[in-house]
Amino acid sequence: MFRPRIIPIILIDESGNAVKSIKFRNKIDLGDPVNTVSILNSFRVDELVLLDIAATKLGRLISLDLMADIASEAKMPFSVGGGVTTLDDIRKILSTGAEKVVISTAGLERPEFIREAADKFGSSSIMVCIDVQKNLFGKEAVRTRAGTNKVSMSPQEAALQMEKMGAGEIIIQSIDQDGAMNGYNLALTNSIASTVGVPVIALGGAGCLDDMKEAYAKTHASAFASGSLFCFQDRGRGVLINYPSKTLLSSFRNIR
Amino acid sequence: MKNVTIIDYGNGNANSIKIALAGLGAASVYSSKAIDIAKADYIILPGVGHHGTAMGALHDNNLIMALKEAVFIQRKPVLGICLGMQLMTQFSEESQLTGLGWIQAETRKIVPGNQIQFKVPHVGWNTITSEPSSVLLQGIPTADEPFYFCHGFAINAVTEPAVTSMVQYDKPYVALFERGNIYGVQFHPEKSQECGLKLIQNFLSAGA
Repeated sequence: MFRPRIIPIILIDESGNAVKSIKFRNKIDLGDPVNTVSILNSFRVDELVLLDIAATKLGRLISLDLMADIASEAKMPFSVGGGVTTLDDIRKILSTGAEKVVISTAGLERPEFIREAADKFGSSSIMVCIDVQKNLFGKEAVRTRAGTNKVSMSPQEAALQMEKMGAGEIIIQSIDQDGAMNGYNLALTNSIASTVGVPVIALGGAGCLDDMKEAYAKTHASAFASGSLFCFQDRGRGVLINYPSKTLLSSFRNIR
Repeated sequence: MKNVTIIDYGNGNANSIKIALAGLGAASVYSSKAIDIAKADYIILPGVGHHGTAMGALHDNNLIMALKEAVFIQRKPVLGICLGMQLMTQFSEESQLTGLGWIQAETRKIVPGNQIQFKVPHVGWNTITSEPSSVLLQGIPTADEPFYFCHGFAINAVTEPAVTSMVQYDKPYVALFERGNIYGVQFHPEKSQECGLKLIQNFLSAGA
């Protein structure tokens, strides 16, 4: 039976360390990312996503040496993003052994890039991450460049456009819920998952496995991602890399 | 030491398969040369890329005859993974082209009745039906251990006698087939944790 993927997200900062943010700020240092990945590996995670959140700002591509280290251990699919702006960047990332690349800023600011990428590498290798933040009036807008730049498109318009260009999966991330650990933005998640025909991955806000179960029951999302849930012991945010057991994961099978 | 040749369709990447094989103690080359097919004990058609591009590359590199000789005359075990499995069929809707035609089946686009409930591609971990006579599934508890799938095209049925195992998404699709020395899997064993590695190990134990 099919069950949704439960995906840990590892963020990498300027210094190359793994970090966890709150509303894209207040970063908590988690140390060496290879160490974090190695622990998650031993838990047999469904899939792993690594994002270099400083790459676009610094004009760099995520460290390929780090990717090669991770690929040599990973017995599961992993996706990599951060600073991807050219087809050659994608080729380099995929050649380390990653399954998919995650594109955000470059795709949302230049949608044609997604079409070129999907044509060359196949849709199933191309994930687009759409970051969404509410303004003072509660209206949701798409953000790029690690949340610093506003794009004049609604999240739904952006998702449809990215699907049309050939994105194989869409990560929908709520900046407002980032690090909040009190549940996903269900309305946002479902509005996207009910709009597009490609798999949607919810990100931002999960604080416990029940938040993921609730989102699986109430939305059409196909996968549930989190940083905090797998990096922290609980809402006290003591660092403890963790992942649910196989038995707990099996309980998702009977929800939908 | 077993020598495995992973067929390069150009533009692909097979690093994850190479790593999996190395972990099992097999030597592998990633190649688009007929000579490497001749040298191989085992052949893998990997699962990355587009059907049309891959068939074009096999044709341009004169690999179609080399593969046919290795598979049908020398009877080397060959494993197709995802796209690699689909290449073994007679036709694919992805490219509207004929495939290698080694197995009586066609590759069709997945078109669920409800496209909001059943997203395409089918991505994620899914269990497959048990098939006691399968060589690849020996020692794998299929009811408990899911495999990793990522595909937008699929095979509905193999229309000749073959060992098959199915995966249920919006409807059942062929997850695995075996006919003689020809093996195909729709999922990615190289990304399916220990059971995926066990499957590759079973393939490497298949009699040459």
